[in-house]
Amino acid sequence: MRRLLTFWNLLGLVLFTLGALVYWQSQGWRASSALPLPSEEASAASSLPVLLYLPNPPQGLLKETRTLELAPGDTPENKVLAAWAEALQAPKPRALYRLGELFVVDLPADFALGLDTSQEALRLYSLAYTLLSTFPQAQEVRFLVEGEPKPGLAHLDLSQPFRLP
Amino acid sequence: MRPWGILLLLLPALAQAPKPLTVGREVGQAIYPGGRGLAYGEARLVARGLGLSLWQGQDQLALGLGSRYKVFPLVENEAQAAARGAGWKRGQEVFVPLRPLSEALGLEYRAQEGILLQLPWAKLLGVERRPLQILLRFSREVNALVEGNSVLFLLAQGEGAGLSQEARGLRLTLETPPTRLYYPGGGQVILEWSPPARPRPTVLLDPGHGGKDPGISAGGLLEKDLTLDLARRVAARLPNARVSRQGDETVPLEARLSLAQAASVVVSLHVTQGSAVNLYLPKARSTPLAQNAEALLASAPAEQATLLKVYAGDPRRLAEALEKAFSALGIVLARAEGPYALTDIPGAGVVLEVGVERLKTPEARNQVAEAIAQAIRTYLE
Repeated sequence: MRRLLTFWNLLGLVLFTLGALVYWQSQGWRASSALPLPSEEASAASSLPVLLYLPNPPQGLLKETRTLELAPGDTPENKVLAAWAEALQAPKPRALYRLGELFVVDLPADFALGLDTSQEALRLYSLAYTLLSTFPQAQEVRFLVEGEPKPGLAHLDLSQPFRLP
Repeated sequence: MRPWGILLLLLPALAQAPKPLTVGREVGQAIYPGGRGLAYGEARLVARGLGLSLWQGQDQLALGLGSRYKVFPLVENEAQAAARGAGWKRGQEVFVPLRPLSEALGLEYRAQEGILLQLPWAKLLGVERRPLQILLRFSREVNALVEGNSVLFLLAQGEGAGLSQEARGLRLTLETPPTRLYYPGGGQVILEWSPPARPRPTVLLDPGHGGKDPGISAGGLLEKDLTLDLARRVAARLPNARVSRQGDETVPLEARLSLAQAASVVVSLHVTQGSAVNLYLPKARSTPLAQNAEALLASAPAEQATLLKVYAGDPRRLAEALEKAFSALGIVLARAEGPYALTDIPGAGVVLEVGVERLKTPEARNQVAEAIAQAIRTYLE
């Protein structure tokens, strides 16, 4: 042990440590300064296949597949909600939250205003089935109204989550 | 010293050994579960010996004397039972701690060579005869048994008109058995012949929308006005029916649901375009009462079913009554099931959506209102 703890060995260890520290610092600086260019994988993730369930009274719901382009800053959830609202000419849901397998959708107060029972049912199921089909990790959808849990809309009960049949 | 030492060691064990138990005229064994020094006796033996009422449920047992009663939770582990002073369930037998029982019911408890549990005979202090009611006062709480046209007051003694002394207690002979017997406390027993007040079914008519929510609009008519008008016409045909909103006001669904939860029948009224009449029923019902109601209503005798309908209902039976009533008007109802608002309730709840074409004239509205009222009457019969 005495042979290892020589002046020269300790000096070498200090120099090695200093060198390693400088190397590590310079690597970190370089990495943060580099501008990553978009790769092929990143461009592939910017398109999102969506399975829209559109109201088709009196038969029920009609399936339609669309591919959405995600611009920088777009989230898949927000894009799907916007696409759904545009397709149905319906008020856009305020927000969508993921809680594991549960999706929570916050609806605006006028979501089903002026609809009869079947129209309201079609609108709500259309949104739930579109989300459940587009995001396979989602197993069920719950709805809030203006950020609060409500027992229902004008005709539909919202106390239970919606699942795919 | 050695024999004394052994004896000292054995004393606690001897103290926990089973002892003879005397309960009134019954004799059994007092045991000490878990070796904790708390004497237990078999519940049926104690009830039989002192004429106590006995009720046993899944996890509880109760013993009662007049208006007094003591409830024991039931535990299978003897150490836990003794530690908590709970009832001990050993196979089919249930043992209860005797001292807490005595304190609760006012029994005499003596522990000497064995355990003695007894109840002094109650003395009849007075009888008050009123129209359709007899009140009897005793020196302590007593239990009474209706046996044919007579009532036996267990472990009681006394004299009076219609009273005869027996080995088990005092018997009061009557012309007809009482319809009600209860213990108001203070050693009193009341016998009554008046029929109990029958609960009445409640009907809730819910005019959809209102206030800020106009519903659909058809030919200058708003759904919120049509539903309110229709609800009023139905309510005028059904005495005691309630309407969830009285005017053009915003009533949150929470408030409507709160009323619906307590109603026997709920018809939520809505309007749609055209002339179709749609009926929406719950697909699944969440409360056990609601889930069992359909089977119970199908099998219960008519009188019991009528009583059950006050608290729980079958929306399918109500739907059938509505279909029949509307078919008399030549209208075929389109039926659908799903998670519709105000239908997942213990009572029978449906959403009835009437085409606006059916509500154009006052006469037409009266016809629809009469059909709804008739269907509700038929369902509740």
